[in-house]
Amino acid sequence: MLEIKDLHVNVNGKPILKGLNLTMGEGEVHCIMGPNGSGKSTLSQVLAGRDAYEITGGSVTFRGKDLLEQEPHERAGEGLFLAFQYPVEIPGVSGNQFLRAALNAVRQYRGEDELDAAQMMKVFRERAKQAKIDLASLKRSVNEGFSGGEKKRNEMLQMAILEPRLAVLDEVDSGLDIDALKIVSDAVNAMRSAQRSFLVITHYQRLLNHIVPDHIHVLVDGQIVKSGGKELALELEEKGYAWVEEHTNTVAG
Amino acid sequence: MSTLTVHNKLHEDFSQNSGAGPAALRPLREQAFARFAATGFPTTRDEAWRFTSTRALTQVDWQRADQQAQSQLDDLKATVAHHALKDVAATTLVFVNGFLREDLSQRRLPAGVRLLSLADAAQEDWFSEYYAVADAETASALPALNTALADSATVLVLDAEARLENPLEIIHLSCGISPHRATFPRTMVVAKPMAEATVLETFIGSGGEAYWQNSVSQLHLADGARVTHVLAELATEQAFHTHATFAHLSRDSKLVSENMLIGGALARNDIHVNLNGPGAEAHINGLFLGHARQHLDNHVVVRHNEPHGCSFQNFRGILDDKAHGVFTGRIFVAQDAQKTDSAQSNRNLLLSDEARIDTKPQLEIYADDVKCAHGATTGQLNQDALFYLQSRGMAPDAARNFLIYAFAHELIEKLAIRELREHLEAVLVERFGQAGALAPEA
Ligand SMILES: Nc1ncnc2c1ncn2[C@@H]1O[C@H](COP(=O)(O)OP(=O)(O)O)[C@@H](O)[C@H]1O
Ligand SMILES: [Mg+2]
Repeated sequence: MLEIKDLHVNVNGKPILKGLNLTMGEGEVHCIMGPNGSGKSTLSQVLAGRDAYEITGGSVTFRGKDLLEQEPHERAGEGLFLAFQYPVEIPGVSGNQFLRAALNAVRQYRGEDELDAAQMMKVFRERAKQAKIDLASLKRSVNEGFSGGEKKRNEMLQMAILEPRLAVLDEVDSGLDIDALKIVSDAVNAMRSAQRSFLVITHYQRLLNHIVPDHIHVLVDGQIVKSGGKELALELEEKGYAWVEEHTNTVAG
Repeated sequence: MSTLTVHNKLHEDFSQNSGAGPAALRPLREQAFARFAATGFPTTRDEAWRFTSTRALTQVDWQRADQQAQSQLDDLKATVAHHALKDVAATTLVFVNGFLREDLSQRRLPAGVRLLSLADAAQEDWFSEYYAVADAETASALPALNTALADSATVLVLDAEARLENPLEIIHLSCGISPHRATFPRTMVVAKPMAEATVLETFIGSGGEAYWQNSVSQLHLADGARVTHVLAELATEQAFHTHATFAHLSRDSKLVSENMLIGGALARNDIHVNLNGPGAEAHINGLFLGHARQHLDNHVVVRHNEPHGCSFQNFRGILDDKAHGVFTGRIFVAQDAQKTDSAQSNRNLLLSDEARIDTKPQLEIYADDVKCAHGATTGQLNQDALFYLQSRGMAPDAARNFLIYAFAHELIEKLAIRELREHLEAVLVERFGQAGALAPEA
């Protein structure tokens, strides 16, 4: 499904990802944890195709194709979805208009017929129901004036409607109160399936009480320094990132 | 005066025709023409015309368009049908080259609402006071030239409490083969106390020749009257259009002025709003969409003369290629106009490195207890937003179009006439991108 090999990425000439390796299978949920500034958002933005990042080495294969060769919209068409850490406000268009345009673009890429407004509405309703998310936010301008929680919930709604094969969730839990966190994680859990993988990126162990991953990786300074099962989260919580960093240093030294 | 040696034909026209028409008009016309003769065309030395040169306009020996030059009735009907409102049973007046064409027009007026010819209006007791006021209100002599040469007009009179349910639609079409044809459309709305009306003025042209429309609209709102005036400037891209709207608002009246500058090589739209009674309210909104080498100038002057008035200006421009946009908005608050609440916003989107905008607010405040907010922003498409849309599956072009649409849509969605909203959205698609990504709300 996704294979990242020895990925090196610079931002403004400064190395941020320094040889990152990650392999995910279909239907798997992986979690990347890491301290601030370790390169979590850089990884997710590079996967989605933001051009401000300079890839200096390595490769990424997504569903058998070279991901780094593809334009952002082609990646979406192939089934990649990024839930942004900071979703962007788009005043002037409603969520409905936005998602209609997006879903039709993705359908067109996949060789499917475009849907008209009525068919769209039906799809939106079904998928929102499946993900247990309220559709009301789609009447408002995209993310404009949304609280942090509303923005994250809206990302989940978009995910449910676009039905990706791989969803990368960049700190989808940050800044949420417990109710919002439950809505977001319920949506993810409802959408888990054998065909859909998740790369859940977080700073906090708390999220893993709600979304139970198959694998956990610890990202420090642009590299994955430790991987394991869900028990790794507990260990991290107990000992903190400093423990991994020290641990890595002793291994490296 | 060089202006007049160049503009021989207008001069001749005036000397031959000023004697015609109703006697009440003659002195007004003569004064107006004398004003134009003395002042000439505005130049960039005039503060109000700093960013707009009339050079190209002054180099043509304009000639009043004649009735004979009209094309076939069928062509006209098709052109008019294309632009006319379709789904409201409006009263539609069609002026072709300045001549009212009853065969293309239709009237459905409720009780208490009258449409007068210029000659009939000249008999009304308010006429000379209202009609000439336009000429004195601006430093530019272009409205005076309209007064001197307009020999037809739309005069809409609403009796007290009368209500015009559907918009009055006035289509000003310039057509024919003369490359130097000029027309002088004139509209007056006289709304008595508590009367209500919406008036849409559409300016269009046909053919590839340059032409000039120099138009004036006057809106007189008595106490509690409500008038919405919509200007859709859809001239051809060889055309010149200079327009001035003058609005006078009495106590508790409300004006909505919507201004769309879409066509024209040069389009200049003056909007002068005078809040002359306490509690008057004015909403002045505009959208200008420029591409190629178009020059689109919005010039707004709001005068708060009485207390408790409010005025809100909201203008948005989208400029591509080498288009040049101008927004100058002046808010004047007289010493007596306490508790004035006024705001002005101009936001612009530049789609090319060679597009240009000059935007300038000007506040002149003599009262001490007022709210006066203004802001202008100019920017390009937001890169974060573009990436966000692309990450959701939209190709780069589609994402760009979507953002342009979104920017304009914030203004378009508030427009009074639904069909005009749809028309503008179609113009956006045609001008700035392919239809695919634009998904108007169903
Ligand atoms: N656009 C940028 N310009 C400059 N530095 C950046 C940019 N984006 C990220 N960085 C730097 O890259 C490093 C990793 O950032 P980021 O990937 O956002 O980390 P995380 O998401 O793990 O907190 C940080 O040191 C950050 O300052
Ligand atoms: Mg981050």
